[in-house]
Amino acid sequence: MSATDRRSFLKTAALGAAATWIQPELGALYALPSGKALRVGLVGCGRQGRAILAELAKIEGVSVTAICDTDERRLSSSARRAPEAKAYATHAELLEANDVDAVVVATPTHLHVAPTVDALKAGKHVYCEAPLAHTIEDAKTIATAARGATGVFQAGFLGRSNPVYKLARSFVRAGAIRDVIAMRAQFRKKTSWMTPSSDPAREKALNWKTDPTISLGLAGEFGAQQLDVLQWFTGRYPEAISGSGAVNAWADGREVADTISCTLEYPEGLRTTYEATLGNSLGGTHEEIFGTMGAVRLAWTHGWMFKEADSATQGWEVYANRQSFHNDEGITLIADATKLAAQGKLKEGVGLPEPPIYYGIWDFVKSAAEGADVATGATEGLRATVVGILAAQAVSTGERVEIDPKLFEG
Amino acid sequence: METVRLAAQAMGTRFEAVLVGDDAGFLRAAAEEALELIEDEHARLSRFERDSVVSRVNRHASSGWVGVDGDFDSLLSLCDELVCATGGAFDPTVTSEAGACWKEVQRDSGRVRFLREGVCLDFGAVAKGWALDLAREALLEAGVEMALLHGGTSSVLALGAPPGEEGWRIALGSEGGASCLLKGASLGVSAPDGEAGGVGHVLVPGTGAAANEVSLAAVVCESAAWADAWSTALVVLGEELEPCNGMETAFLLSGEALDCSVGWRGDQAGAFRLP
Repeated sequence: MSATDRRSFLKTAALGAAATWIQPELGALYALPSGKALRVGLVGCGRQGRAILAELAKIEGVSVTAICDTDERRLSSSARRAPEAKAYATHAELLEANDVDAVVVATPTHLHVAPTVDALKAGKHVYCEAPLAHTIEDAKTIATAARGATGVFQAGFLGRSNPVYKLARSFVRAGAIRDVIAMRAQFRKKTSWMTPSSDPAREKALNWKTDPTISLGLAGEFGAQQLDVLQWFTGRYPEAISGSGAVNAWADGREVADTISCTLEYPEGLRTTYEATLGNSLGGTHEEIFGTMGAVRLAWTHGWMFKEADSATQGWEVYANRQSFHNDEGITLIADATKLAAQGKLKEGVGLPEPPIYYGIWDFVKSAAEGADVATGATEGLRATVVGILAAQAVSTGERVEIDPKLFEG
Repeated sequence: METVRLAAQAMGTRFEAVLVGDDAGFLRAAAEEALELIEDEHARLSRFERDSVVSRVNRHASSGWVGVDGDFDSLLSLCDELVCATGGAFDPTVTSEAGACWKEVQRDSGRVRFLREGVCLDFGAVAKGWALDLAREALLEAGVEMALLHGGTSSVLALGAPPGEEGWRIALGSEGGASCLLKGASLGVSAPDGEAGGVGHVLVPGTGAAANEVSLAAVVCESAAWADAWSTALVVLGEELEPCNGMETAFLLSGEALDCSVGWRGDQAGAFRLP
């Protein structure tokens, strides 16, 4: 076999092997089949709600017919993004108008339960942002309502819809990094986490994330989402969580910690360390899974696999896109690698073609309009929320929290 | 009085915010909100980000209609106005294959498509101003009265004036040279070479060639988006500038020296060209 033939063979063989991990629809314009349509109402018009409106607008067959927020300014801001939608001050009015098939709940976490349960009772399909609730009781109420509902329910844990994460999970579960020995995740961003308003009542409402009576803090608001990725990858849920936190960056009288760390204990001695801060942005947001033959780093729009020197090299790795991190080199995880490589455009496939939230919304739309399997249902949503709530409890009390497995059964 | 300064990286440059008021915590939160809006617009409008709305439209709009949200549609409407006002000297399709123009971007109630292959959108000449206008709206809604925001020093937006001053004094060009006073207004500055000098980055619509009519154009408008677009258009148009709506002041500089004391002001229609 000549050198050229060999290269060609390796490339073809590698791409064939990789094909099982490919998301065929990635990069295409998503649309509901002809004749299918979905009318969506948004409850909660903050930054996340507006981001969701942008994604809904991309999907042919979907129309945003209603938006809802108690805050007039946020409502009018979202009205510009969804100009055809009717605006409501309460979710009860939105449901009363009955011109939606599905409801997306993107209110502050402690306000998820009422619109979610009411919409489910009204027979609507519901997408509820993550975490589901700020208390286990509310989370269970939502999960129970979802299980008894006629409509589809999806919890907004986005790792499970992310094409790069799905690809990485396939690698990990196929043994590409061999035995998983430890996991780590971080959230780092320099921000005071405060929202300004000259109206004291409005300011209090907008700044729920720093209100210790209702906020889960960093462990709940970000940790629940990131830890769910690791739980989904390994199929394991923690047995105990230790944590600590402090106000190190923003000494403005707040009580909710701005810098935290947690250790989660999983079966068989597996540990995850989670750290988050609002005082520094180095490395941003990512999750890492360490195995005896390699590691995976996931950063929502991008993912990489790092191989140990003594691990077996697959043929396709010769042609893979790589990125250097100081002394390490990561193989870029590209979800539609086969097609792109065949076109000589592998480099153009680095990074997701849509924001991560798009894939969660698309999964929901597909389930609601076409009956496709739900990406993250009530049980997974409840479990991930419980982990976030208990991690927040460990951080705020500084005590080790042992977890009753029954909590995951809902 | 407290002064809070914050910065963020977006749109290939550094955005800075200076806010003045009584409560540093409040000012910081307001500055963060403004800069987050700018970061969000970067994520939506950068053609260098694979997952931006613009990249999505550029990938697919030659093959058919692409759905866009109301805010993106509003930006396209603004571009309609800007292209019309500048006689095409500002054109968001300027980085397309030669010959493409704004007329080949078709719109229909929340959808957009290109009339042929090779057309692409690039909001580089308006995005910073567009984002600054959104930031101003957020600052005003929050109750901020005194602020200066800029993106890469070429797009500047002023709210109110610093305590005891008539406005925010902005130097044009080198230190000690010309300056202008901004109060409740925006400044857009364009130069063929940009900050770094060298290869021209302002392109002439239709030909795609680097513009070199003037060495610098500076425009003051209420809207930062309009100031941005006009300053780019003036670099393209040079002496061919027609009287234009919306401009408070325009400085069109083709000489070496910058002396805005003799600049064109206010309700006069036209632009000033230094000797």
